[in-house]
Amino acid sequence: MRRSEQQTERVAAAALFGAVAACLLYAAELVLRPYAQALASGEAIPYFARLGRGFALGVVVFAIGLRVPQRVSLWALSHLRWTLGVPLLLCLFAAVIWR
Amino acid sequence: MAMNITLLLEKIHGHVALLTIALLLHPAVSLRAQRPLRRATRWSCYLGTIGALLTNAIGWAIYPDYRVALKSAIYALGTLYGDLFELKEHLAWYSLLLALAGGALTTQARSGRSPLNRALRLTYILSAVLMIVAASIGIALATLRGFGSVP
Repeated sequence: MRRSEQQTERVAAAALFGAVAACLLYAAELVLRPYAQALASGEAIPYFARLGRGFALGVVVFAIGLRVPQRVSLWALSHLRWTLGVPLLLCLFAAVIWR
Repeated sequence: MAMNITLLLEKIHGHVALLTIALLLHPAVSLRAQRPLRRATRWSCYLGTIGALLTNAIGWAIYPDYRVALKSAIYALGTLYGDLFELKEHLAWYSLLLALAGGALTTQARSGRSPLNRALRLTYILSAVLMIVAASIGIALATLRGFGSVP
C-alpha cells in the first residue's frame, strides 16, 4: 500500500475517532450532570463549557488518531458498526434518558 | 417598529437547518450501492458540513436569549416539552460532530470508488437523521412557544 493511501486512512479514522470521542464526552457529562449539580451549588454544567470540552477532546483524539498504527485505522474503517454505530447508540441513549 | 433580531435569527436557524438536511441527504443518496464519489457530491458534502456548522452557530447565538426568555415558558407548558427541547440540543451537537467528521473524510476520499465512501455515506446518513429529528422537534415546539410569542 502506498504511503499516501496509509495517510488517507489514518486521517479518515482519526476524524471518526475524534467525532466519537467528542460525542462520548458530551454524553458522559449528561450522565454525570446530576452528580455534578449535587456536588456544586446546584448549577448545571454550563452548556457552552460542555460543548467546548467535547470539541477540545475531539481535536486531541483526532491528533492522536493521526499517529495510530495503520492496522488500527483499517480496523476502525472496516468495523464502523463498532467504531461509530455502538458508541453513537450509547450517546443517543444518554441523551434520551438524561436530557 | 424595531426588528426583533432574535426572532429573525430563530427563523434563519430553522430555514438553514432544513436546507442542511437536504444537503446532508445528498451524499446518502448519491453514494448508494457503491457509486463513485463525484464532484457534485463532494460539494454537497462540504456544503452540508458548513450548513450544520452554521445552523449550530446561529443556535448558539440565540441560546442565551432562549434560556432567559423561553426555557421556563416551555417548561411551564409541560416537562415533556422542555425535555424535548434539551434533547433537540443534544441531537444537534451529535449531528454537527458527525458532519464535521464527514467533512474531514471528504477531504481524504478520492474521486470515484473508494473504500472511504462507505464511511462517508454512513457518517452523513447518521448526521442527516439526527438533524431531521432535531428539526422536527424544533418545528413542533416553535408552534407552541417561540421568540415571536415573547412580548
